[in-house]
Amino acid sequence: MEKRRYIHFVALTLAVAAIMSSCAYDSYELSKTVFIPDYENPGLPIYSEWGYNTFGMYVDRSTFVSTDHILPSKIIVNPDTFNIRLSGIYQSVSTTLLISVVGYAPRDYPDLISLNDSTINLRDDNCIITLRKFSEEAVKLPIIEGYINFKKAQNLYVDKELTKTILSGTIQFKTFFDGEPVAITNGRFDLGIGYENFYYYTR
Amino acid sequence: MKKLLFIICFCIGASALFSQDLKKLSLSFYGGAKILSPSLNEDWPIRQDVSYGYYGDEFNAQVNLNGDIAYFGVSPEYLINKNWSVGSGLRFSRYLSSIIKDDYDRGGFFFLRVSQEDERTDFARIRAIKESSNYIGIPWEVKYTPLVLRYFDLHAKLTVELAYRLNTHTDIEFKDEAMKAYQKDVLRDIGVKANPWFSTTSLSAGARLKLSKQVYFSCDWVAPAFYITKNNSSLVNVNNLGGFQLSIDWVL
Repeated sequence: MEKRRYIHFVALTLAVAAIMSSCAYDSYELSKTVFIPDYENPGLPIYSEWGYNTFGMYVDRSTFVSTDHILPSKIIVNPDTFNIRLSGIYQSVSTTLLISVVGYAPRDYPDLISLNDSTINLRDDNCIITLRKFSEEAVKLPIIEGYINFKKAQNLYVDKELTKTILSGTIQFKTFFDGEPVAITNGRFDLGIGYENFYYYTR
Repeated sequence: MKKLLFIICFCIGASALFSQDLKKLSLSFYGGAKILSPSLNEDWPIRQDVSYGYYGDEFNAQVNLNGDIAYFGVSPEYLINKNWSVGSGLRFSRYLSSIIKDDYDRGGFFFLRVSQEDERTDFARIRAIKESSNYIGIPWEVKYTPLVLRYFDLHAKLTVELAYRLNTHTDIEFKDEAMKAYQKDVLRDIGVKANPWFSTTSLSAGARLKLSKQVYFSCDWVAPAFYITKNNSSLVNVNNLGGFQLSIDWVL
């Protein structure tokens, strides 16, 4: 009886190891940032729906864009709040924009396809946007107007196996930075969401 | 098939025309190759992976794009005068093109989007895509020989070729061999087609060496060709870098 349990344990361990090792390489390839410049909007990546793991937007005339060395996106779902974190470089320092939507709670990354062809009004009461620059404290941004549009949400299968969910879309809004009104324009994102950057937890 | 018969009949007719004066007729058996300078056909939905942190790079730098044409044929040549001659004949050409990931030897691959429906997208990991097409065609040649010596001459040639594709085969090498079963579906869904007609015009320069009273050996350098037809390969867009041709001429 003890021997059989041992064999089962070894078999299970080997199977898990095989699955993890086969996924690791794909995951790495698909998690890379593929920054293809948009020559019509200098400094920003092109709008794409390939899961290139990029985002970019103008903050007045500055750019806030994804980079190679910072994981560009994380989705964190607390019991009833959907948080999408966009991390990149703004004015030469690492910066994170957090968009929180209360009342939307996908349990796992494939559930994100419910966002396909949807628009969220960022002015609504259930939306909270915060900005955190490098070592500074996160600041809640008062939204004058704006939206985030998920143009395309697609479950990505590689060699017939579900690998990631790709979220692609646009974003723009007006807010205040340090009491001064600013416009976030030409925002676009193309994010691959998978095991490594989707978190669902209950506190 | 009717088109092929038309080409063959036309060729035989042209040969008969040339053979009116046998003293001025020679028969050339030749073979050659052209190396092409290809760029990726954007119709293939390939994920443009570029090097990590290499913003200025392009996907074209990450794959080896190849294209070449090997051909052989027979061509009756009619001597108009000491310096000018014309020729035609039949030519069989094989056109090879391929897309191979540059780190192929280390197991490298790229992603090909094989389908996109509603909220599901399918990628396949591809190591290489190879295409070979066979053509039968007619070359028309005008040759000018400004220098004629006893055992040696120098010449320049203008060639226009029209060819029709006999068959074509595209082979996809998947990273996961189990995906091979889907190759036909993948090719059907992507639906990239090449032009069945293939036509070029090119200039060449060469030398001819007399081996015996009736037999000559020729070597020609083919300058970059101008393609009359478009979309000659489904995989790559081609620009010709030229090539060479060797031939044995037998004076009748």
